[in-house]
Amino acid sequence: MSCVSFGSTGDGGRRWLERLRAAAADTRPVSSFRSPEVTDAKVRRVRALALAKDPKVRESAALSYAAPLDVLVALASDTESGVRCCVARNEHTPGAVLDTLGSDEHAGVRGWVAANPSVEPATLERLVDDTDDAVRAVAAWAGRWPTRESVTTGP
Amino acid sequence: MTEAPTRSGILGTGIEEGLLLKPVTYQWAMDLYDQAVANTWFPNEIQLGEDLGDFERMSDDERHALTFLMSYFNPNELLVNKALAFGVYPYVNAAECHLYLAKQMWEEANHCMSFEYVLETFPIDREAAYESHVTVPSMARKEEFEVRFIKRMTEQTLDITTVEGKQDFVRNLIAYNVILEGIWFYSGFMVALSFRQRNLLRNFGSLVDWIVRDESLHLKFGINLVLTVLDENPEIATEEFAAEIKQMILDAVEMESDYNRELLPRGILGLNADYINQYVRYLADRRLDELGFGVHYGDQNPAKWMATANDTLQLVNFFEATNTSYEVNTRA
Repeated sequence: MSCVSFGSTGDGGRRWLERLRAAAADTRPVSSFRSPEVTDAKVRRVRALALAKDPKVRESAALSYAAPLDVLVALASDTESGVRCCVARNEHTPGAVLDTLGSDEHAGVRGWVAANPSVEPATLERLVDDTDDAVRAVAAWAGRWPTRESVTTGP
Repeated sequence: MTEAPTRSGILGTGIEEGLLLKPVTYQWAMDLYDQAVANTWFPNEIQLGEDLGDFERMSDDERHALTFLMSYFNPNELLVNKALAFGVYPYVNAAECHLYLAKQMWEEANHCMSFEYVLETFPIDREAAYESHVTVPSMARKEEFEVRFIKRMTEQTLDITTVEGKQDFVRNLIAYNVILEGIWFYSGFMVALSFRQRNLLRNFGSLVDWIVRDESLHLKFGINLVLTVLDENPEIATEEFAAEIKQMILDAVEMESDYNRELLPRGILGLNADYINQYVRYLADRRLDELGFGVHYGDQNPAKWMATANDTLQLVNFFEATNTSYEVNTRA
């Protein structure tokens, strides 16, 4: 039984269904792929996550594209290397913060700095000569992206 | 004074019980829920369009591999949701588990939309991508395997209070969580991330990173659930049942091996089916070990760049540099 008969006057229900069928036949993308806007409330939430006791939650804050600069700076000095790794991975972390993390004592942090598309060429160039094999390998890989070619090959 | 209601265990009909969050019996579920909420992300935060130039430079074989991956991932993210909706949620009593499952189901939807975003962004033949899960035998076989266990969970004869009903619950969990999410998905993630390793599709790699982060929590939840059910219901863990579960995982490795041969008939990007299948056996050993079976294959991880530590995708040995100090806790 069609639900069109449920209290509808017939024509209204049919028009409604026609609109639904027309929408299904539309070849445009199925979604506009929009995400919620970054509101003050969202930033407040990231700030709260950055203060969590659980380092895994602080890692989430460190990876958030909505993390404000002061939060990223604070998390860049976190006692947990995993959290600092996440700041180093975040593509929205400014180059100056990445440059500081490029001298981190933990090789994993320096490796993620090298892998970050936002790293400054001078920082990456320094990491090409890092003491750690894996970091040097990542820096070499990073240098092979088309926009970074000049960093490793030099003038 | 009224006594706080007590729970009889994690399994039940989950309709009248499990309506109050406190007292929390399974803190691990609450912790995973908190972590999952903190991890919330959206596909359009990744600028996939920047990878279009790479896509145009890719060979036919590379495009085939990417299309093949989308063909598999897209319907199977939704298949996981069916396994959760029909096979897990209705039979779990704990509210904290329901909270996590609700978040996981949204994440599966978000992953499905992420792959849809890939299909919209790259000039991939959508029709070919959509039909493969039915027309490619190795892909269809994997799907049939999963659907069989989900269907059982919807049958009226299933009684979750019996040994047989509880065993059916565990079978479905092993099928969708340990096998589909914990082995088959990770095998696909490795291939997907290998593009970035070769300086291709960097943003697509970031998208897959976010998905892997979610999946690592899904896997942890599923394994915790299996182990909790076994702990609370020791009568179901008979030798025959244990052997059956182990055989399910070994069969899944065989199915994945066939699938990978169709995924990479000629090899790309330094990968071939043998390399991926070694990784699959390595993954299967990790899962078998987590379930208490010990390792079966004894293969080393050939893709150390896919290693994880502390459940987050890490850059350890990212480019196959050898540094044994990083191999502690290496569990992809």
